[in-house]
Amino acid sequence: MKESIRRFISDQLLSGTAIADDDDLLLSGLLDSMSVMRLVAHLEKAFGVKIPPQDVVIENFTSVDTITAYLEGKEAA
Amino acid sequence: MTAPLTKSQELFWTGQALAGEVPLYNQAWRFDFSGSLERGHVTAAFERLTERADVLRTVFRETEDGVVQDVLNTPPRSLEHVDLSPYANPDDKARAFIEARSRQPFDLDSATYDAVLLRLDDQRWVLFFSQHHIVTDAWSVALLFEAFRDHLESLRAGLSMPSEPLPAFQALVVEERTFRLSNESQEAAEHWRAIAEASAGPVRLYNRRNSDASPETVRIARPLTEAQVEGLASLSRADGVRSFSNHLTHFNLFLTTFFAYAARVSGQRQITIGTPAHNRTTPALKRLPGLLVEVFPFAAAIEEGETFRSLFGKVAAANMENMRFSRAGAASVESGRAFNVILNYINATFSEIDGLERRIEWLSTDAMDPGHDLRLHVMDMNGDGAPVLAFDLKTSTFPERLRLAIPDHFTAVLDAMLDNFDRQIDEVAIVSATERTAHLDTFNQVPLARGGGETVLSLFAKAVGSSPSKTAVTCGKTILTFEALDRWSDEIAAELARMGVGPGALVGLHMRRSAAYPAAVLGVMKVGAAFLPLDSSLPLERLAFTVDDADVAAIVTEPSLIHRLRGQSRPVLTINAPPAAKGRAVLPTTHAPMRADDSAYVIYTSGSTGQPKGVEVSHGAFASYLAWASAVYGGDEPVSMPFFTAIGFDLTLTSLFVPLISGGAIVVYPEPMEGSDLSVLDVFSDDHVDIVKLTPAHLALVTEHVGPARRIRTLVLGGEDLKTQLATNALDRLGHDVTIYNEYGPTEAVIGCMVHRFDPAEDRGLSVPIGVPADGMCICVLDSGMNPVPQGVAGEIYIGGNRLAKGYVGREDLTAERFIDDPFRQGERLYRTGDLARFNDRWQLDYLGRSDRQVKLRGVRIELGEIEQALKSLPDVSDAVIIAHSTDQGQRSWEKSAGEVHCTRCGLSSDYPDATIDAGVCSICRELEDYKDRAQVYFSDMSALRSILDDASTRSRGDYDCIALTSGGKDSIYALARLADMGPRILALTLDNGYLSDGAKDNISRVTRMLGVDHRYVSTPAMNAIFVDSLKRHANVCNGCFKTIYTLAVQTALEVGAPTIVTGLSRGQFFETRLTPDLFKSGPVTCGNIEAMVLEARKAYHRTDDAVSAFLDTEAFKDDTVFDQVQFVDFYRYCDVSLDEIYSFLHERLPWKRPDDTGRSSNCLINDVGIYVHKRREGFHNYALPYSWDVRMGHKDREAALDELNDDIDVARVRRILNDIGYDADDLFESSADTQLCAYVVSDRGMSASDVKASLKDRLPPEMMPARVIRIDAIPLTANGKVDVTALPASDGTPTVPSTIYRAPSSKKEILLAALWADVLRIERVGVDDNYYDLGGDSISAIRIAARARKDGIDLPPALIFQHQTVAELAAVVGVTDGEQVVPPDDHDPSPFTLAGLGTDSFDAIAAALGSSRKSGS
Repeated sequence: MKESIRRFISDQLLSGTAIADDDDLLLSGLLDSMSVMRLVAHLEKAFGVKIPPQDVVIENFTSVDTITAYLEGKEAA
Repeated sequence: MTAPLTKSQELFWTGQALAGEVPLYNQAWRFDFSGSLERGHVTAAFERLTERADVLRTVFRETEDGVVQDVLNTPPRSLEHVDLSPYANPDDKARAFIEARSRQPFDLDSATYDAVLLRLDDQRWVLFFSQHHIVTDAWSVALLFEAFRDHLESLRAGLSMPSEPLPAFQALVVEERTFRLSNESQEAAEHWRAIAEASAGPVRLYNRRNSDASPETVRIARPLTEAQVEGLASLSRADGVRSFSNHLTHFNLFLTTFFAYAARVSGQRQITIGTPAHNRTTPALKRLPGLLVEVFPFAAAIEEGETFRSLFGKVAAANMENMRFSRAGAASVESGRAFNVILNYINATFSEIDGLERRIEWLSTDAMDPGHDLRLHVMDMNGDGAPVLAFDLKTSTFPERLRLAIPDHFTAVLDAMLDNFDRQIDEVAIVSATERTAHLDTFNQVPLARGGGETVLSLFAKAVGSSPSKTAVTCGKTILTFEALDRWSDEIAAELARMGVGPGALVGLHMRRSAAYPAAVLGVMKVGAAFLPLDSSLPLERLAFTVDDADVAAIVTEPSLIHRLRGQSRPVLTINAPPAAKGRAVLPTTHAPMRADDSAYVIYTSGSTGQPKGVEVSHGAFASYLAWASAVYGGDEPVSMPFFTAIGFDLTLTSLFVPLISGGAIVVYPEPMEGSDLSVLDVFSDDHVDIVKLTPAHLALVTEHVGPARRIRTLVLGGEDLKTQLATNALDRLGHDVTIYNEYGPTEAVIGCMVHRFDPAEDRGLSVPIGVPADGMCICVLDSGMNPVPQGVAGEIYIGGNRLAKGYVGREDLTAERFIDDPFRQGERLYRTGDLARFNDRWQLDYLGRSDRQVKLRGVRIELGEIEQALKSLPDVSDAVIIAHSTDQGQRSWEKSAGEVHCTRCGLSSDYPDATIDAGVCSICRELEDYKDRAQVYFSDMSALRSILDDASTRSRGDYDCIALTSGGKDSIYALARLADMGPRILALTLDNGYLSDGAKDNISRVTRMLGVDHRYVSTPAMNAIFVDSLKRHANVCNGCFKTIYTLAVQTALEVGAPTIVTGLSRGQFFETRLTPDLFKSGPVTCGNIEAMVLEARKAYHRTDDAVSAFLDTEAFKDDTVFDQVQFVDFYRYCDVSLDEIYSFLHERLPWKRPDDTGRSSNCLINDVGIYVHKRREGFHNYALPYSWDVRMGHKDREAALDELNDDIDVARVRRILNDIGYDADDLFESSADTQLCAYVVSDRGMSASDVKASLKDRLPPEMMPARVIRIDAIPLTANGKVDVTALPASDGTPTVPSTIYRAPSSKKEILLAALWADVLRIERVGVDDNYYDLGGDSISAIRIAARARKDGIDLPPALIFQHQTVAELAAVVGVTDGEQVVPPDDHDPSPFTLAGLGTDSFDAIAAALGSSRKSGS
């Protein structure tokens, strides 16, 4: 999961810029609102989950790690 | 380097081309610097910027392949310098300079930016920088500014400036092209298209309409206050609100505010706005200077009871969805048409500069796209953390007072949201203190009430005293003087007293209209009691209910009605005739003097819970109303009025008492013992009164049948919405010196509480305003939070003042619910009407209908719930729902008529009114056989055309021999190509009406290029006005368009010196408009004759006054010489070619592609609108006749024509276009509306419609009887459990429960009659055994049928319909007139009734003979 998320962000949203799993994607300005929304769309499609707007908050989307944790939490729930 | 344009650039290029010199897209910025700055540094820094950024060196030019952009090698212009420091007021100078400079149009082929450095003093500098939007957006300017900052800082530090090029915009052009081809792009385009298509049309803020093409705007900027900034920050941190980005949260909060605001001030619940998206989706795009921003539609539904929190939830979810599809190139012309308001949340941030203070301002050029009304920009350019709200407002849409109020209203909504996120949006107070005062105080500054301390009796006593022998009442031969009326009422009072009736009692009056009725009313009052009118037509059950509910002490009646009171335990007084002249009844001494608080009357009105309720009115209130009415309508002079409406209708009280207190006379029009009440027609034909108070339904009848009035001077309309058209028609009919008052007032506010004097010059809305408060009354319009609404916004009418009813008899609960404490004036009451209204620009109220399920039918208010209760109480009905629906003529004819047939030769529909189909062949085909050969004289061959063109070349005064009108369709393109073959110098001309399809444009450009023919588009900014005019005059758009083409073509011909204009009119069109059968009836016809006739027609055509003559220059047509100078040549007069030949020519010889973007063989996207309007208005397809001609000429085959006429028109799109062009669609969708009650019943036992109706007759008064009863299996419900109205079968559709088996009409008379019934009753088909009542027929319809029958040569007195209630029976008795001769009925002797018995023009005879139990007047 982590691998695929990282690849999507790097390839599709950052034009190939390599990122680490704990890189801050939001405060660094790497991802803006539009990119995050495209990421959300991708995650929903790729992992068959529904991500409501109130979950799209900084603690869930700040890095590849937190995104993975969030999705795993969702699956567990 | 040359590149095509991005899609977004194309839109700007076209927009600018249309706008001409208007600086619609100038993006102007002002950068203020303070600190020490070297001019040379700025110059060098800017110059380096122009070298590094390709967008600054980009220019545009038109080529044969369309517009392209080039990047120049050297910058097209350098930074200018202006030193303002010598001036005393450099700041003012700078402002003026920048304002002027920012509005200078760009010459896109030489430079797309402008830059000036202004020196204010040693420490203050201003950099003015402006670009055309085609190469920039706010983000781009921030990037350029950053590079400029780098240059400046390097120079100031003594370093060398960076020199590598900034990312090239031209690279994006390539990327965008690729994106457009991708699946992702398709998906994105589909997303935006779906939102755009679902758009409910423009947002009508304050009911204002975007009505002209003016780009002029005003910007009003408001920085957020500290409190607002803090509120926003703290709300943004709240759970459920916060997101990963502050900007996103703020944007969502502003969206919420904007939607809430737009919903509140438009009253619309489905709102679509535009929101720009920066589209910088990758790191590379974020570094790219240039145009990427696009505006996408954003829709939200604001439901009843919606809170800010719930709306925020929707908006945030929608935004999340929308942002996925924000990509450069995804916006389109169509998606851009979906909105007229924009929320622009700008999150561009500008760099700081070392050692310099900088302020950044994005300037308004006071111009924007004419289709937009409001743009709200939320921006924080300086990064202060305090955004500025900048409102760009279209000046022609919003008058100045609104422009000033809008920012206040918006911030009121914002503050309410920040104050309480769970606040209901509908309850937010919007208006400012000033507006509140204007609404609550200024609007209600009316004189105090009149008639203080008086009662009706004291006013009447004065009239008796001053003129005892004057006539007070006439009723046929009965004449009562004031003295006699006084005496008679004394006698009745004495009788009542003897029966034990005294002060405080309630007395029922179950009477017909007669001279006795006013005597009885006065008698009841004189004994100190109140009266309760009990209409003679009340069903017995309801009569009994009312008598019990009101607990009357006694009932006064007349001999003919006494049988209806059998079984009553209450005392009954029957009155007969006036007392003998001598003697005077002695009033009982117990009679106490009347007080203002004592009740005068009780009137029952329909109640929503299933039972009617009694409204109790005091003497003080009643007298006050009468005093006011007498002064306003009668000028306090003695006036006579007719007593012709039902006694149970409070409108009737005006007609009874204004004469009695003013010293005038009541003229009584007794109701017929049975049947329909058409007294109103007698009132106008007699013309014996001064003032008539009536309902709009009455007035409609009157204007159809009655001529000018001599004595009647004043009409008082009440009871229902008065349409302006009706009021105008009435004046035309009755005479323009008649005064019409529109009076508004529910029974609870004592007859009338508002009035408006109709002014045909000023009152241009759909309905006549209900005006301003009457003396002593106080009106306000409130939202659901009890706040006054802004001017232009709908709300509910609340009535206060001294004339409110006391309440509902025996219904304290209901009284407390409807009569509430006035929140604005302590100790006063307010009556909550349930009526909706809004203030117009003149501070008059416009009535808008009901907020609940109450309807008004012929002036009577009806609670649908009450009828449903009555239906559900029937033993065999398990469930029922009542729908009041508009049956309008257009709606019905929109459906295919049942008996529609098509001519077997040409396919012409039987719906086409000016032809008949006999034995399968239409009359036009038959007639054509007769003259087709003779019509050939009009046609010639190509050699004749050649000589015309040769002649033209000698007459030409310029570069062209002829102008070829080229629409891009097959006929015009074929004609153009053939013409080109013949070698004249051609200028092809196309009218761009704004709706020409892309396919047509592409065809024109490809073909003209290939043929080497010069081509020009012509257009006019008045096109929309011309469309509207054409729709109004001809119910189509084509007439206006054609005339515009001809007019502009002649102008162009004169301009370029071309002596001929070649048209592509088809042979079918010649027959349709010129070679008519009439032409050939009177002897031989020569080609010269026809040409002369056509020329004369053309002259008249161009000299007709219409929108074309108003908006275009038609001066040239005034002189005949223009028709010599410019000759029209119709190509297809000289060329006979089949459709197949045309297509194969186009296919083989030309790069012409068959259009696929209009859904049918048309090049024009507004065509559907014309078709739709025509069908609705005229009831048939406007292409029916032209296509039939194409078929007759062999240019179309019959099946293809039928297929093309079988349109599937997108009504939402039609509405949108109608709105775009400024056609009052409401007028179209609501005109000629006629409300009918339709009952849907669920009955397991299979009650038929007539069974249901028969059972209801005992329970409901006639006006509440459903016109149609439809049986269904179950009531369809929506997800919310509400009745799903849309899922109910159409009331005129087939699922009705027929009481009989359908039997088709067979004889000619039956067919005619059945068609007439179907037409007037607005149903699809009528079987010969169907009962008139069951079909929803009533007396008014009978009169209409009679009138229509007369036109068709059938003499059919309306009375006959009631005696012979089926078509079969009726056909057996009616006669058909043939001129003067009466043809006897098919198989009967003429009935004595048929003709001789009843003069059809005599309406009293009709009324007397009508067998209906319905009446029209109550």
